[in-house]
Amino acid sequence: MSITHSGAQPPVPRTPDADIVSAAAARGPLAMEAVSISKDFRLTRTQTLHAVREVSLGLYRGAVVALVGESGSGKSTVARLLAGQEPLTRGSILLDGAPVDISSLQAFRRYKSEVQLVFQDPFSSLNPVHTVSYHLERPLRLHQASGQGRAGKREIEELLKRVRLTPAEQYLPKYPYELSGGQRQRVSFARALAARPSVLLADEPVSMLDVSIRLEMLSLLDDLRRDFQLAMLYITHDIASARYFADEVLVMYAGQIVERGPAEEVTQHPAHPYTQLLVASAPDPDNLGSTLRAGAKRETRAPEGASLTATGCPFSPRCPFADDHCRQEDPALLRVSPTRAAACWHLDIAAPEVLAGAPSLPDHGGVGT
Amino acid sequence: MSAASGDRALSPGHGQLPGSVEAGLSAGRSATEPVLAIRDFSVVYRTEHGDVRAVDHFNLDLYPGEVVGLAGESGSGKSTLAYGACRLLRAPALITSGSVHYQGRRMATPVEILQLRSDQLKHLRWREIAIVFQSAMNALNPVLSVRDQLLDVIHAHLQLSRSEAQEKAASLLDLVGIPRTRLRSFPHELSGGMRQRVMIAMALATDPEVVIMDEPTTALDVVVQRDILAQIVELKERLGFAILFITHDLSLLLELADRIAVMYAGQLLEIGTAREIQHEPSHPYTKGLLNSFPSLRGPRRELAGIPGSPPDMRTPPPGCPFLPRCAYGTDDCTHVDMSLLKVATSADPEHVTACPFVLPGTPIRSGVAARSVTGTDTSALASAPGEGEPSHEELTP
Amino acid sequence: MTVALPVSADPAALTETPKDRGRWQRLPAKAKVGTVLLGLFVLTAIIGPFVTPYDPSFQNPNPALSLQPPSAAHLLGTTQSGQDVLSQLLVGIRLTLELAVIVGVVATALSVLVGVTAAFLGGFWDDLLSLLSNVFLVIPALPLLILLLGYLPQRGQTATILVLSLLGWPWGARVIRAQTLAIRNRDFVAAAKETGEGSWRIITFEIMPNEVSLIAASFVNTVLYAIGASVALAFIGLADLSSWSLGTMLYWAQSQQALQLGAWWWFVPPGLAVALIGTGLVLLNTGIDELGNPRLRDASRTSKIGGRRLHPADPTPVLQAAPPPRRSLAGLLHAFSRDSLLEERGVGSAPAARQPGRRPAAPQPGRER
Repeated sequence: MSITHSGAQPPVPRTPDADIVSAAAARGPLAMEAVSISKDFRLTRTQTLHAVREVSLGLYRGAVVALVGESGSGKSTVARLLAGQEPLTRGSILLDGAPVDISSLQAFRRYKSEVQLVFQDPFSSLNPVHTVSYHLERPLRLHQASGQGRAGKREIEELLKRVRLTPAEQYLPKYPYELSGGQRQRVSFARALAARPSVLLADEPVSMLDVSIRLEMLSLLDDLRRDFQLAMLYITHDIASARYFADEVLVMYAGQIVERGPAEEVTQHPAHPYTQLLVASAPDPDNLGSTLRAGAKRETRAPEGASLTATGCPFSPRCPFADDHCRQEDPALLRVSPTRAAACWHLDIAAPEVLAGAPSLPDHGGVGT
Repeated sequence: MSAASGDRALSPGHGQLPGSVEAGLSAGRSATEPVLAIRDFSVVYRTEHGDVRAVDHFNLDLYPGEVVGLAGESGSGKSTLAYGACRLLRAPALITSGSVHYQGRRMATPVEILQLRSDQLKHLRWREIAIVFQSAMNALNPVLSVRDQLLDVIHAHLQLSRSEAQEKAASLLDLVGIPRTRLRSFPHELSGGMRQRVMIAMALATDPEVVIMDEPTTALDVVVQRDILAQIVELKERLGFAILFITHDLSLLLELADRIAVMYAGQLLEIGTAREIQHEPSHPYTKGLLNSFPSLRGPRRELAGIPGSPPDMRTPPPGCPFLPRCAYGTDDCTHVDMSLLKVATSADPEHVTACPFVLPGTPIRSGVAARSVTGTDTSALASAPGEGEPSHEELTP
Repeated sequence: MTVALPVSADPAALTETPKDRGRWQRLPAKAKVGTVLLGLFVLTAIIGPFVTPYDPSFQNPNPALSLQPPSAAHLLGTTQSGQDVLSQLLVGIRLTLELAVIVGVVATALSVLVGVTAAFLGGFWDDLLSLLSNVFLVIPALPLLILLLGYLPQRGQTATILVLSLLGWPWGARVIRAQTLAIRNRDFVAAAKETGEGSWRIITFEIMPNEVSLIAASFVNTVLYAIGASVALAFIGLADLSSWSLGTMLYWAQSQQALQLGAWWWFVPPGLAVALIGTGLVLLNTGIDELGNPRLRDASRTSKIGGRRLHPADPTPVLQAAPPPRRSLAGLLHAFSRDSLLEERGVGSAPAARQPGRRPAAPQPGRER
């Protein structure tokens, strides 16, 4: 995020990348589109925090789009904006082509029956005083006008079976403290599904779970995506899981999208220097004699105390390729191929092989199936 | 592994541990003796409803200057082990068996940590064994500046004059790469990475022999994490301390550690060098865990993770605790005594495993029903997830 | 490094699952004592006025019956004007408790209303309501009470209730506001909003059920305050002196020089009653606190393990091996010594002394190996 002080120039708007075809578009029709959305937070009377800057993305039914970034990159804010939990400062969101209206409670509820957000922390996203049954009954009541009586109970059990919590009737009277982290997260998925949405926004759905069950949970999400043709947004800081789970990957830095493209291509041949840094920093089990044990060089360390600039590329303080042009003008997403774009003035130095055209990669399926 | 000599100035005020020497560094100390020897170590939490076995007959040796990784998920007991070995756990924790032998290079004879008095423990802690805690934001005092916290540690364990202490605090920040101007800052003014570096600086303030790190980089971004770990390795090379690195991220340990110990439900399942664990994992849990980390490099593999969830430690099942989730499990597994056995096919004699049935090369026996201790047929475990009847979750009892 | 380990003999025996024990048994001891104490007084308040042996206001003109110490006819003696103290006490307990409970209910309702509204609305309303609470908190209560009651035309029960409630809500409002703010930021509130719940529903069904123990504690606190304040006011004469409450009893006792005359039976019973009711309330409150927050129980209390009392700062206790069957005294002592244990393990001994003054823990049969 960058902070401007009042009296300073507002950030220069970046050109939306309307001519990039999303890798996810192959799966199904466009369900939701964010057009140049921005969010500013007023910190004090003179300081404004630009949490999200000119982000555009599209979610397609049956496809997974991953939003990869570190904490502070603004990715969770994007999720809340798309979910309607925060008002937009600029830009617009389209659902099935029509602009989104959440002005009244009724309109908001209608929106919620199409778009649902799943939270990160399984230990605080369920109300400790309510049972599993209550948590699932409420959305059924509000969105499907059901959930009562015996038929309602059957519906709730059906939902639990969908998220693989069986035997379902044993889970109905349980309180959150009686469930493990994985079980709670499944209840959260079921709660979101109860509204029968077409778009599912998953904000780091597995990062607080045990490592050995993460893949199973992602596999469950994958099945749900396929069974319900959900348009899914997968937010994560783990770019490796995005490679396996997503169709398209968008990399966020300081509130902006700095690279987008098919998941396999972006993770195997990253174009933007920040993506390259992310990929290089991830632990690499297949590379044992790596820099860590042999003795490390720290080339891309951020100079301590460097504050992000309001003008210019936000990554320039840490970028090995940065020059004055980078520090003065913030690059827009520049097209690299029909499906890829990266926001960098020096792609020819940072990723020459990408510009030359990497060999086309084979089609990939989802996780584990 | 030879102990680095380095410039270890003798800290004044040292020498109140029984058996410690007043002079001499590595004189007479054989390099093949472990600096920390944990034997048969068990910890229970004594609640009004019974005992919960958090750590069960744990054995591990830590040699000078090496990095041993302790891998485990939630409920594995890894943090309990680390804090218990230093007697930092509070009641209702109770150490029910074992010994923890510490023999630092500054000491003539070893000490048995489990037999020490409070005041003797005080001299051991931080001087000899330091801990870097998991969440720096919780471990640093939010109302004290960085300098005050460093001085706190320095004055508690070293006898230095005021100016010497101030200089030492500043030099500690230099050690971890933080500008000296940050001495005045408060924890909330620092970034996550810087806070963790301050914790590391505090841990190294008194030149310890052993540094226990409990998930030091879990809350940090991947880029900062790599930075911090590189820093740690550099410091280790320079100062010569041994590290016990506790984390759930096995892929990190494969890069960082010399040896890796895998824990599950309070038991030690496998110990081996990083190379062995990665290329020749022997225990089914280790195999499953390795298969849980999506890799960025290399071709896209079929990944599965491990079905089921960690067990409820209040009612531990007989035999191997991993049985309900194991693709190789049979009824014999309920009689396994969990002793560590040498892996026969391994070139490394120190590579041990708790599973007497499975070797690195053993293929998965598909179609064999793994019986959980509740008697439920969990044959679904043997097939790939997503196929067949999806009933992976078991109710915790 | 191969070490042969003995077989895990018996898994830790679970004596009872938490659900088996009744709710009453699970309460901390303080709460039990407080509840019993209060229960006695409430019972007295309910049936008291029906079982008074005499009319409390009846003034017996017989001088022989004035200021009599307790006797068979008058169990708690008589007042200066021949009135039966016991009857007055029975009526007084009811009146005092009645007043205190009503004040408690009204003031707690007010503080919940103000506190939750301020926290939920935020912004301007929060500032305004907080300012209001702070103003009322800062004003010294008793002088204000005296002032108000002094100026009011009538000083009956209603007036006292009104005045006490007016000054009894701010403290609770502050506490509830703080708690509500904390809860409001938790994920399950945002998740309820995701489900499409309206604000009122969120406040009453999602947030407030999590504050029940806090509201209960606040209520008990207010009742305590009301008793103290009403007795104080009555004692200085600012109450309806024709009614019999504990406070007015004390007023009359004081004005008729009971202390100087040595008529202890007149002022000790009401004073003791007030003290005991107050004690019961405080104990109950502490119990509610600990019930709501189990961590309070463990944090500061010393624990008992293996027969020894341990403070939180003590090092982790270590169980010594079971002693062999009783032989000679020397053999017994040796078995308890650390050297024998180390011999068994075949490890060289370190010259660490045993902890002075501590005998080894007696092992629990059937629990340890």
